[in-house]
Amino acid sequence: MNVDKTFTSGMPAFEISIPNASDFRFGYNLDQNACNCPLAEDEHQYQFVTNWTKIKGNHSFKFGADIRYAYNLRVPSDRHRSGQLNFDNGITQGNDGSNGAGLAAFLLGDVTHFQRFVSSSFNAYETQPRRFFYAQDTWRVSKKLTFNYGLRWDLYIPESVAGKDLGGWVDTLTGEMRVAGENGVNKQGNTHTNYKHLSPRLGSHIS
Amino acid sequence: MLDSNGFDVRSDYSASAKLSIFGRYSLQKFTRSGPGLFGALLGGNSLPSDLGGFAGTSNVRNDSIAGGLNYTFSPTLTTDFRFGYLRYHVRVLPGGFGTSPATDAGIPG
Repeated sequence: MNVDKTFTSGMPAFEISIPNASDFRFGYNLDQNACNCPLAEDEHQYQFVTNWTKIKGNHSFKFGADIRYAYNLRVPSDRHRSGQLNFDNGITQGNDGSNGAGLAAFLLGDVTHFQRFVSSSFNAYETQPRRFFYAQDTWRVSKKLTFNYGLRWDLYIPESVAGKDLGGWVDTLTGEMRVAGENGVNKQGNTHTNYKHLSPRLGSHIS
Repeated sequence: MLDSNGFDVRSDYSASAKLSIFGRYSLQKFTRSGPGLFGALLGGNSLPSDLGGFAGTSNVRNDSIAGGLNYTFSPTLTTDFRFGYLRYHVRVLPGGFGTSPATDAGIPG
């Protein structure tokens, strides 16, 4: 079960049922010692912001931009990659329905069920750019009257997977997995940027 | 074993009446490590400790950089620029990482 010296190394998780008591367990997995391991997780966020202010007459113009780029990689082991072996009581129960014992199943080497995490890639990251822009003016018409107006533009670029076969999306209509780089599905799952997220502002103030 | 270390450094510089700049760097490191009830290799339930039921080795590192500048072109035109970068880095390994106890014991599959 240790098919390499890295991701599938170490002691598999053994869970042996005991009648009327809690399981006898050893090894590593999420259930027994909260070890989602091996786990490799990387997140990066880049952010660039600029603001400009220009005063002209009774106008105070402001405009600016907020540019962000996010990267996420997570290679988990929700089920231990060298394997999780469960030995249940029921597998050795008698024909009359009397209780069996997980330890008997363990001594027989009769695994009731087996689970493991397997992945063919360890670099299936996602990235997403987000871009925000604004412009506004504060216009002091008179000592008593001030207007504020402006516009904000939000651009959420669709999340992108790392490359061909490194991500997919479930088609909820057919139940099929749409894999990036296959059958005309691009790295964004063919989602498009909405360029119409515009937020106008208008305000006035009388003193 | 639960260990955390970190520091922040920040520098501000007024280059002229028109230009001021700053930079900051922060580092935080967290390590959680402990054997299971049956030792590091055999694992098992976490030992009673402050590890929150965890056995194995967990390393977390956060790096954060920020920089910025303010510039005054004239009394009626000013600008500022800000840059930020955050890196969150996690590695968790089981006890006995790199060993092959199941293969050594002759368990196939």
